Amino acid sequence: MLDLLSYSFSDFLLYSPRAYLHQIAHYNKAFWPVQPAMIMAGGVLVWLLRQQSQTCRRGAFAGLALAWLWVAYAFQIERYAAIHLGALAYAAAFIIEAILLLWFGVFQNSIRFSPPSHPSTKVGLAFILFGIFIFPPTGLAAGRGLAELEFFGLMPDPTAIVTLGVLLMTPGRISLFLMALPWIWLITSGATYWALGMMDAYAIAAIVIALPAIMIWRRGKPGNPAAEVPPGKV
Amino acid sequence: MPDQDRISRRQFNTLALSAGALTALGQRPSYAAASPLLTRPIPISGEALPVIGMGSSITFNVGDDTKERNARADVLRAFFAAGGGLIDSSPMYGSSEEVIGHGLQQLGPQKGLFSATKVWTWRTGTGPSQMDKSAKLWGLGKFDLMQIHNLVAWEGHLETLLEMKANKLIRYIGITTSHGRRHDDFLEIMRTKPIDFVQFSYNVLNRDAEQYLLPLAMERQLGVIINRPFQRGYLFDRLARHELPDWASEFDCRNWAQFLLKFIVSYPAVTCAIPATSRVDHMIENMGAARGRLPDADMRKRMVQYIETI
Repeated sequence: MLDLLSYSFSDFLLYSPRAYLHQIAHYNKAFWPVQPAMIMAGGVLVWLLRQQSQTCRRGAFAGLALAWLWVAYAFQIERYAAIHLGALAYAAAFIIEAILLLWFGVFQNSIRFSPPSHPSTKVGLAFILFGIFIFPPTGLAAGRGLAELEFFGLMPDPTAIVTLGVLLMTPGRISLFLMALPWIWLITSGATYWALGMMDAYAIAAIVIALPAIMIWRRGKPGNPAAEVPPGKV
Repeated sequence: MPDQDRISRRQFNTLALSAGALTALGQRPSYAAASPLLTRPIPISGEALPVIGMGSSITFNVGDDTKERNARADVLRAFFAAGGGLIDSSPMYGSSEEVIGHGLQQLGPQKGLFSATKVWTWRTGTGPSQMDKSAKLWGLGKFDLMQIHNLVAWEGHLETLLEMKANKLIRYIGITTSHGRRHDDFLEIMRTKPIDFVQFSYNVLNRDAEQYLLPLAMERQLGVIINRPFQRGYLFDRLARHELPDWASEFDCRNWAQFLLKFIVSYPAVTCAIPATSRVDHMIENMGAARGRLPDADMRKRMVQYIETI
């Protein structure tokens, strides 16, 4: 297995951008009109998060977990793995994230949210709105066709961005822990686009770089709600 | 080397079929197509192999997209019509083996096919099942050439392949590398193990193989397959804005693809180069390098000098 060390990342990307985009186009076609439904589902997610109800927030985490499971199965395993062997490993990571979201966000109910007026809540909301509404059309700017756009709940990148947005609204170590896989995914995805020479790399890189900067900024913010959460709860 | 100045009836028939097929594909056969197909003997057997084959990394990995699969079948049709023989793939290349199988099924049996794939698994025990799966994907009973991909678990796989060759389940054994990966191990296997083929990268800008690999292959009488002849398209990017020099016509070269390929296959130790493409017109250009004159030693020097200055 040490032989693996002699491979570079691009050695495993043995498909063309065209083949990748065709996979997305066929995937989108197979599930049409789920795409507009997912945009509406994203709106419901925002509404749930804005409620001051733990039940609604647990519902939001359940929805996120379902999205990660769906992307693992329907895209990573059923589509992407046809052209990229690494997609099976990605699928495993997505399933793990789904389980973690379910465990901490639904069953344990151990994630607390920052107050609505807190800056990190607003930044989190900006991430969510970007992932649901802005990210899909950025594909057009990157030269994609309409059929090749990526939507929250169906494709990995917007799902990861929305998840990071939700977790930015929540202080504490569990949130940081849950952010790890979405962030690592976005690094992997951005590196893939970069290696393939696809413009999409820039939008992903912006998120990847912004996240740690926001985390540092959040730590130094007065009234950091992390301090308000009872010990052992985060 | 076959006598390239004389044309046999078989070669004539092949040429006639090729010209007909190219016309059917909407392409005008070039003047070079009137000359015989260039072949090289596989050192261990003397079996003639066309000097231009076909790789399938990236270009044939199109998943289950029917339209794209049929387009690759057209590429295969053009390949065989132009006299192509060796097709190379690997389980590492995603759906490429399956897409080759789809194309071969559409075309029907091809007498000229020289099937080459690889075993690529870190567990020696899973090698046979992987090779069986590859044969099923290609729709073949057995492969002509089975190679150990990038020397992964090579000791165990080599034992398996030697046994398969003894049982006539494969005809030739090879090892492969790219980017000079595990260079020392590669040379050692070439020196000491009973293999028939080696596959590595070599092109007009990356001539490291001339130092050790190519001379050793010649000394050990090994067939040589050259992968990444266009450096994954980098060479075209570099050459695209430059005109092909007039003197390229002295070795029947009409485009940059033929320039790059003829440089490679004019090295005496090289048996076959395997450019990959997803387009019929590019396949026809590539296969044009398997006809006409090849550059001699002086011309090769001139080619290197020219490329290095632009």
